[in-house]
Amino acid sequence: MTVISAERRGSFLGVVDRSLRKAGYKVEATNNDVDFPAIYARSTDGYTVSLRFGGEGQAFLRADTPCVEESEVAESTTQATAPTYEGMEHIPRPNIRSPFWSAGAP
Amino acid sequence: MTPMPTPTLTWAQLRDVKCAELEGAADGWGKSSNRADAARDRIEQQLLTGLRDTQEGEAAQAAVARLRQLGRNFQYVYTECGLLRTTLNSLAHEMRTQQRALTEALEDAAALKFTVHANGSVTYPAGGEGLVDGAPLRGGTASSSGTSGLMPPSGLIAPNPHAAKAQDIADRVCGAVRAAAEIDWRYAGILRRLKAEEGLKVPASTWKDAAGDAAEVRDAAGAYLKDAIPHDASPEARRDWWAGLTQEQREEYLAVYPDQIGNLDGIPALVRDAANRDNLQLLIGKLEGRDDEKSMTQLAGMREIDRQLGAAAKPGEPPMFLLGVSDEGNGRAIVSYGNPDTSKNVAAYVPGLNTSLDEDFAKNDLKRARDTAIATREIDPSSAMVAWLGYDAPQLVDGRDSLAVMGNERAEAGGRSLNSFMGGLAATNNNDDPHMVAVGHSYGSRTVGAATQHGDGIPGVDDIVLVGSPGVGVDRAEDLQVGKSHVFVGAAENDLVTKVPSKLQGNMGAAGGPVGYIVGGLMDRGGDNLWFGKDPASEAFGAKRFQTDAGPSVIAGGFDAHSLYFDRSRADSVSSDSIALIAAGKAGKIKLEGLR
Repeated sequence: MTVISAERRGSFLGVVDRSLRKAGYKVEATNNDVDFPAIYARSTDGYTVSLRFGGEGQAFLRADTPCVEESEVAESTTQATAPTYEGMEHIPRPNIRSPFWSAGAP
Repeated sequence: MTPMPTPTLTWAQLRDVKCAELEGAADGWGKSSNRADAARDRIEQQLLTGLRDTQEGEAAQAAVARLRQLGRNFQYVYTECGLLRTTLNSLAHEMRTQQRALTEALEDAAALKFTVHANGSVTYPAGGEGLVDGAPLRGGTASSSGTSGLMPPSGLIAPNPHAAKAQDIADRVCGAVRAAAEIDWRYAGILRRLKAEEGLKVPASTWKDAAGDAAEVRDAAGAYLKDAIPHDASPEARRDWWAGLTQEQREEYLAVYPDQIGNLDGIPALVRDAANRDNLQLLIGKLEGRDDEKSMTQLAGMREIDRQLGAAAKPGEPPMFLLGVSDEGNGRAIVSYGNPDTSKNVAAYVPGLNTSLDEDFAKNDLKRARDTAIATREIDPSSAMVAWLGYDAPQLVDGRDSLAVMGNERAEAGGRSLNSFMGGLAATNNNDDPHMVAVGHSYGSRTVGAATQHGDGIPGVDDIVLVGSPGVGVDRAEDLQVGKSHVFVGAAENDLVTKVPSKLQGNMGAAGGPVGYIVGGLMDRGGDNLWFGKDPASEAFGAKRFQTDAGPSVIAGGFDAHSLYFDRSRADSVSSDSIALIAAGKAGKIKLEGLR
């Protein structure tokens, strides 16, 4: 995963914000903190999407459907493109540096 | 029980009993118990995890099921062998006490040159002076009737001074032999009943027997293990007590008193978890087959917890620790996601109105804690979140009148228990100064409020979060004893429970539902206050209010908005993310909302 520096988190959120609005989502809440910014949006038919920053610049994207009947959810069949960290309690923080997104990160 | 037979034990046999051999046998059972525990561990930690991660299909599923059963069988072996060990140690302990009494009596007899016969009678030599001629009085033989104490001496006949001593020795020898025979008979019965069903299956009925076995061994071992468990001590003192025990002593306490060790604040989390996993099996065995509603409800909750404990954690997911479980009152269950002893951030979530140990709690309340743990660990990996059902929350079935009366009582009792629990977490945490948070939802916030009113507040707690609060019993944030800037409130726009009663009158009819019924009972107080004091989201209370989703309107959702604070799917997750930031010690990073 890519390190996103504190300086770039605002622009990252801006890109996501514009894209969500374009897709018809309504932004319901934001947190404009420098270290832990977040955005929460909802579509007209009830889907919610949020993007928030955790520790050390790791971004977390969530998407949820409106209410559905509870059912078994099958495991993803897609081949993983990154380590799956089998058996590890903690997944390591982002460690890939990008000249743009990681600019200014320690 | 069959009546105790007349003792055929002789004092010579009692003198020669080798108690060390009994203790040696106890050690052997202890080793078997430990080996079974290690085997179970290996199945659960290595084999099952390996199978689940690498194999798919029906054969793999069948193998997992069989291995889980095998793991349970080993757990049963662990429990029963542990009980046998303590029974034998306890038998040796009690025998040794009687042996010592016998030895002392025999030594006294030898010093006085008395002879102790095989049947326990004691012969003494001539001695003393006759009243008339001054000649020594004749010797004789004293034997015990089984009741100690002497016949009062007649004033007319001068006794041989040896007679009283001989009688005393005979009584002591006889007393020791009788007591030893009774001990032998009692333990023979216990050991005879400590046997498993034939075959490889360990059905629930066997676990039920195991619960009975534990109770019986506990009765018998009272004198040996004593009631040394420091129930009245502080959590720190209990921690030190546990740290001071030998490995053997710890194993015996875990085998005989898993329910007490598992629920004792101040005992390390890993130990409590191990004890409570056994407790859970014993409780399931105990409740299985009962047909009253309370037992069936609790059983469903326990089974669901058991299912979750048996499921392997996926990468990045917090491990689960069972820090408490009991069928006391409405049921108790304390579950931590993440190890609370090693984590720098530890938060406890106190659920509220209508919560009890049932399937709904085991699914939904635990999920709230788990989701919050995951969200907190995204911010700081060294974090744990506990769901704490350590008290009897008010129930719908208690009715609205009883709620009005017990409104504060349940919170006060719960508050004392919460204090003890948090004190235990503070005592067993390995970090120098862990960051601890108490989170109260609904009536749980009233319980948190009650807990702050003892001594210097809740032990170890730095921040307090109140969500969906009907008031906390105090009128100002600073009264919660963490400093008003460390009190955080979540009050959803459409959560009726957090609204001033006088503003609700018009809405109640539309709200209805079970919670509406309860809240309706509390509504008569009027004025500007909530049910239990000032609205924590009010300006006057002086806490910080974080953003929450408004939740569905009263007309559309009734009381749904009361339950969304931790929700990461139904509502947008702004509230749960705020709670996570506070739990991770980053409260300065939350976005605040205007006070009411």
